[in-house]
Amino acid sequence: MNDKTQSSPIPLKAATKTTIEKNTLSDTQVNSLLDLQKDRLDKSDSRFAQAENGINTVDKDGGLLARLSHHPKRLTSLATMAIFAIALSLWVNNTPDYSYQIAQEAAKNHLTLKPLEVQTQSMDGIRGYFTQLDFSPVQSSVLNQRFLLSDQHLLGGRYCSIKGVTAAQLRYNDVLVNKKPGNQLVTLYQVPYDPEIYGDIPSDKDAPTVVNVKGLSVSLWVEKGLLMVLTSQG
Amino acid sequence: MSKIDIQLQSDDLQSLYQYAMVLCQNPSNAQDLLQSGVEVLLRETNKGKTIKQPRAYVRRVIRNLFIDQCRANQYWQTDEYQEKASYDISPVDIEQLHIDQQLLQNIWGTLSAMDRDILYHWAILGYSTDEACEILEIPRGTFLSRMHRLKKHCAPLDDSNPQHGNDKKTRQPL
Repeated sequence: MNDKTQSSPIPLKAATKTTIEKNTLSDTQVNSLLDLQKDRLDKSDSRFAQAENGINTVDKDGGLLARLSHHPKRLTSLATMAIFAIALSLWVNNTPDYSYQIAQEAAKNHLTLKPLEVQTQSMDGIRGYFTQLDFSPVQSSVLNQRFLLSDQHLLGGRYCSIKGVTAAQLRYNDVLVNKKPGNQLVTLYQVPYDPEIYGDIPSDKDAPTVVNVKGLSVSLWVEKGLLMVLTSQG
Repeated sequence: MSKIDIQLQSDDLQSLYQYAMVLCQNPSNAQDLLQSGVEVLLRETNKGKTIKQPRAYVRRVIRNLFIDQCRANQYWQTDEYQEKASYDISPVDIEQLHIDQQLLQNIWGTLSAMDRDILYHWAILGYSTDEACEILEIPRGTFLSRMHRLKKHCAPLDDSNPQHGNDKKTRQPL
């Protein structure tokens, strides 16, 4: 402050203005704030362009990192979240796929061809026999529609187990093998579906999981809360 | 696709920084307030909000952020504080007050943030102090009593003061 202003009072408004306007940002500081705006607008534009093309992307490029570098705490929390996300995805992906094990067990039972404990051609007969199960065997619509098997092809059933859980094993005589006249034994296993025991099995009736083991074709699907495993010649 | 222009130019940023300084009196805090204000503006713009007066918008954001900080630190002065003080709320013709520049510089920091805020709205933005009190929701009496204290530092308001007679500004009695 120079001596002139010290010796002569000036209007409060002018003095206030001068006092306030003494504070200025340096060029570097101004530029960094201008860059911040440009950077964000560029991101906004590119995001808009991507949205127009129907592409959804996440803003995770250098611009965001540059911004976050001003906020170490945010960067740390983002890193922590990323680690959790990776751990979670690994855990989810590590949920074992048991379909091969189930197919192996079903194929083994099918090939052993143990004698039937009950011989019947109706589901009522099947239900009447399987009284020791904690579920009720059902008529499978997938079996009817996709594999063209109904009660008339039913031969009977017996108790068995899949992965240690008591299951119903139903045997059919397929007279239309690959839609041609023939004769083939087909085994259908029914067991209550528990994802923790059997893993993730699709419930899509149009696309059962098919696993080929020991020369057999094993189809797996979930229907009416039951895991269905059908074993037939490939 | 039309590219959106930068909303805050250099002079806007300088002005907003000065406002942040008026409130917090600390360069680092003022920069933080400004940066936060700019980020809020960008965030709202990116969400598709149209902000017609970005400078005024960011000024308001800065003020709100500052008040939040003050409340967190419990140093935003309340009216009760004033009740204890002996105060005079008779009108002050603030337009007629004269002060030594260096003296104002020295006492500027001792004024409350609330007072500096009103003085900013008056001296820089051109509002009357009444309007400023209304916009900022500050009781007029509170401000007046403070102005009386400030007046003690100002040059006497009488005809013997040669500058008084030359002042052609509109009088705005409080």
